[in-house]
Amino acid sequence: MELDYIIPKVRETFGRLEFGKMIEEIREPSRNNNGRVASRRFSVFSDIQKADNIEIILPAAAGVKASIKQDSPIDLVNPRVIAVGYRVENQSFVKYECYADDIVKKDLAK
Amino acid sequence: MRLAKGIALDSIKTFGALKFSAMRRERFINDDEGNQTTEISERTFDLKSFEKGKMIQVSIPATAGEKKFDYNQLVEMVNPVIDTVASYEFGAGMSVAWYLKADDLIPVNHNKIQEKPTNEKK
Repeated sequence: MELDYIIPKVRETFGRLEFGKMIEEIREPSRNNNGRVASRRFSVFSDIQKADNIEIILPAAAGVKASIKQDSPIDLVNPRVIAVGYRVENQSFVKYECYADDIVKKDLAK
Repeated sequence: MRLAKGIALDSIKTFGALKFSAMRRERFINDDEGNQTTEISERTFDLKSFEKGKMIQVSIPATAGEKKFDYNQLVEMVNPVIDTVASYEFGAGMSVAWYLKADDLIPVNHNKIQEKPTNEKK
């Protein structure tokens, strides 16, 4: 069946998440690649999904997250996962992309 | 990213309330020669999802038994597991399909639903 996105249980799927860094700015299409920033891709680390890095895509309004240091525990606001297909010669594979509204520092008091 | 350990699906946030619609198909076990037997391996049901606004399909193993719910009976999935399969067709391009399996389908406890409005009033 086709689904636009699914909502994961963050604790069971990702476990403890730690901030990595911003790895890419995704810009609106333009003639000379100077379009407005539409979204930013962040690398984060998960203690459950250890076999690959986790990438979270945030809207541009969420900012560059300069205040969050590497390895500090974080929470995701409204995460949703989409599946993207890609092809290598005659084989097709799925990769997942996780979109969220924001990344916030984890409140350790909770 | 790969999500090698799978995705723990939040069924309520993803699909919202689920209402039973009908059984879609039965899958039969093939014998050693590849011929279809009459033994059922799994049944697929159509459920109406109120978050997605469309029908979703969930496969339940035959060991869970036949499900004879009324149309529009509120149900919930036991241990839902979601996965994807990608396929490429020349001309049509890439497509990704989601597959949803669960251990069982159970009717939602009506008492729980009736409790909710009273809590909201407080």
